[in-house]
Amino acid sequence: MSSSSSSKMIELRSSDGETFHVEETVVLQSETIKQMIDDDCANAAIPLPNVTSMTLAKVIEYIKKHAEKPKDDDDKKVAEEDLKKFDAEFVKVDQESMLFDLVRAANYLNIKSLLDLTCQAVADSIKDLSVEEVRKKFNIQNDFTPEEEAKVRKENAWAFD
Amino acid sequence: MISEARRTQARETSSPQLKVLTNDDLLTQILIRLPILCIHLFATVSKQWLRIITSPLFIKNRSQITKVDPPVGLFVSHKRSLFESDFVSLDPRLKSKKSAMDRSFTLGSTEEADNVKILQSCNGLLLCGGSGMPVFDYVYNPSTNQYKKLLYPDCSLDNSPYYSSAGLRIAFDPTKSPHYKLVDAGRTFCDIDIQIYSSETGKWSLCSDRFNYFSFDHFDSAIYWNDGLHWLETENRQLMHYSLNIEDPDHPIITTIPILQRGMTFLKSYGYMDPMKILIQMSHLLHLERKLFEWRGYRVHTDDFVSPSQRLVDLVQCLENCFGRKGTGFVFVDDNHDDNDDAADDDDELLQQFQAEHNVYEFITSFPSV
Repeated sequence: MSSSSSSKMIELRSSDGETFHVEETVVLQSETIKQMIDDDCANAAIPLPNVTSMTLAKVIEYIKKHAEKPKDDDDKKVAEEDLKKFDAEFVKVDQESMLFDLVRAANYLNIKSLLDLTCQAVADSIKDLSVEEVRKKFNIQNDFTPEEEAKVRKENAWAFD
Repeated sequence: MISEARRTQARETSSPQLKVLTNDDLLTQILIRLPILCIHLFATVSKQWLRIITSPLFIKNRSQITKVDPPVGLFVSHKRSLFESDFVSLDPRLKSKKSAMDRSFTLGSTEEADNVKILQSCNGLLLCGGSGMPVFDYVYNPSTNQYKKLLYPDCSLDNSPYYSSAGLRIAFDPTKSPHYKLVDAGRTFCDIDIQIYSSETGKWSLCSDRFNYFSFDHFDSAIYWNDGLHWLETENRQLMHYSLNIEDPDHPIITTIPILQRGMTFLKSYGYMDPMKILIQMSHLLHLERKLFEWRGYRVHTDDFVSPSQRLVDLVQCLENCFGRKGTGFVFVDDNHDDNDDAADDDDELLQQFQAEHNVYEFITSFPSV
């Protein structure tokens, strides 16, 4: 499949009313939008009430990059490396809330690779924390009574505790 | 697709973090990507997290994530009493324990499998040998605290009266399969018979090929990496790297690679071989072959060699702190240099002496059951 200027453009509208024009071949990475196109619901701008313009711009940046097709096998290796670097940089966002917005957008738009990437980034951000630090970071209420917590701790005890 | 509709109204004004974390499906997507150790620990974050982590679906989905976690600790068995193993934590959230298994190393919670020694550690599973009579061997998964008593290969397959085992080894790579294999090298009158057990079928099978009797003297110290078991032998004062590829269990392929002079002096200066030393020696070899540290679960490129080396330094310090004294005979090679002429001079500096009186088995968390 070669993308060319003749490719059909799809119009997306974010929750705050901004419109984006993206090539159909690129936007097909979203299963949700693919379904809409297949169902012939994409003649007008597609409204995405769950996605803000800031998040949508990031998502489009991601799918555009991932739509690039390498020309030959040599190019393929370089492209894979390049994509890995891009992914690593992509999840380094200034605001943590953006990462969570991207998780939701990836889920809503059903873009599996982006959901994998962003969920892994969230997991990586907590994997070295203690339980108390996790609660604090995400503002999670400890809803166990001390007795319950002790019981869970015991039942889930690491083999060497 | 994952439903987002629930409780949407209540979350309309909340933060993106809260919107994600209050959605069970999305929280599952995040938690499933954590190392096993974190999943264990984070069960006490809240009731929601506990409910998700302990659900059967979560456990099933997690076992499909093919990723080897970094090591969480080391089992250190004392050479003087192989049945005693200390647990040295490499994670600050876990405590180290001297003689953690105080009645000696016991598997699970029953008395049946107490007094065992660790024979091999392989990507999260431990192969253990019992002490009672009759002797049984076990496969033990410390992250689930489950163990399995092994059925023995069928000796009657071979009519030779001289049958004995030259070594039993385990092969397990959760990135490739949730099942493990056991490889038993049996000595017959003049050959080696290989029998391979697959946990998938629960059966032993005898390979039709026979192998050289003298090639398996140190098979009982072989380590598993990249579809093969690797060990070292000395032949006519030449150190050889043996590799038994078991990707096709019906036809294992053995290959030998002579090790450079440097490797030989390296080994001579440190005397006998123990499993960890082989591991370390092997990493050096693998690095020379540009095959990285993959077998350790460190999937790093050779350009990034600083960090695994650092890890080994940490490991050395960790053990020294734990036992409070230094010994000899335990060596590791820092691979962070190119294989050029100057390198030989650097080797003395790069070699570090280590505890003599211990076998060390790395423990990597893994999810599959035994």
